[in-house]
Amino acid sequence: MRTLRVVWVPGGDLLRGICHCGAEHVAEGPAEIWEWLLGHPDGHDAAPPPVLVAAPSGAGAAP
Amino acid sequence: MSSIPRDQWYVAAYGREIGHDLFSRTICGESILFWRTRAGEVTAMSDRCVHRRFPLSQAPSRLVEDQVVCGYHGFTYGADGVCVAVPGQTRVPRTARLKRYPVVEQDSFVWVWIGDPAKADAARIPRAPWLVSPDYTTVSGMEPLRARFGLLVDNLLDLSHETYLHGGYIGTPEVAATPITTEVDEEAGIVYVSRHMDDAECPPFYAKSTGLTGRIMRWQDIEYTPPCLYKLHSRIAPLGVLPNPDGSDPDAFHVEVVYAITPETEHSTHDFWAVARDFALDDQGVSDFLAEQNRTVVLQDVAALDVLERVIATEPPGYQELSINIDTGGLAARRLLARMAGQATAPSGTAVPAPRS
Repeated sequence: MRTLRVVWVPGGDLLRGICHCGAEHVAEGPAEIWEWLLGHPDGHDAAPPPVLVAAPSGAGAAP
Repeated sequence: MSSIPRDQWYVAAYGREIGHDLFSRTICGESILFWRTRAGEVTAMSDRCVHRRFPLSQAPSRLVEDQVVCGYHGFTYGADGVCVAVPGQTRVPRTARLKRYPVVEQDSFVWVWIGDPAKADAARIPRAPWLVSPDYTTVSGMEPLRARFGLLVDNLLDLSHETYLHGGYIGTPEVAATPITTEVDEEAGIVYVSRHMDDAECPPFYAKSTGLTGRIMRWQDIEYTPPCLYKLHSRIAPLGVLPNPDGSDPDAFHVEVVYAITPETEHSTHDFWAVARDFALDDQGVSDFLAEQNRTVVLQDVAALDVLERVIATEPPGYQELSINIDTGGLAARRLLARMAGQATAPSGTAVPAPRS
């Protein structure tokens, strides 16, 4: 079965896309996550990426 | 270009709607005549006489045994659509036959194939077995929608709208607040959206039908097989009550909410709805309550989507929608529908590249 999966990362607003090839990608919205999933195999590294942590709130945060 | 996929099965009616009388309904822009033959089979053919287009469902057209007689000039057709008599002459033109439609009666629905009849495969019709199961009791109906079918797909794939549009019926704060998981089975062409609320307010729809009071577990598992059949597997249980490891789930209440989303035209839709439950099977009061409640909910959607259709139909081109997390399933459905309709781009303008393997 070739399944594309999108889960809502707990504790935040990010979405994690999981391709049928095993690659994963985290993005801020569904349009971006579908574009990545449907772009397989472009940019699909089978190794899961590190978990992104939501940026701290407040403008002017130091990089 | 049409947004309506062809070479697809669509629900045209409930089986109970079609008896030994002429019955007409427009499906995907095609006016189709139905009747049930004396042998009990549903037959489907064009509702336009080949002579001068007079609708064969329109009085004084009439059904005589298993033949339909046009009320304008008397052209007469058999259940196979072939013309057997014309007025004033013995020779019936060879081309005098009505377009026939493949039709299947299944799970209480009458399905009709819109497209090339040679491609019709009844095995591809998605199932909704609860609607005719003795283990479930079902209430159902159909409401006309003066809006394009894609708006109803958007609506049903994102149930967060229950909180706002259906408060006091099925909406509670937890629906909009609970994250979803979305899956697309690319081979089967099915979209799944799951929202599991493990500590939620019990809305009146479920409180009065199940008798549960206080907080509940409420799971919503959507299974949409585009273009037509949408199923919401709804599980309601007391807090902390989970299914058994073997899959049995005797202490929960299960409701299968089924919609058949059938385009009437590019800008109108037949909104078939059914609610099947595995509890209070013989309680007519519960049936009456769920039928009234769900019809009210459907009419709330109809009112909103009718307005939305008028907004979209009259707006200048180029409006850019904004999609957020709750739209993940809806965008997936749009992509599959666009692919079925032969479109490269979803209606919202969202790019939907074809998947590459």
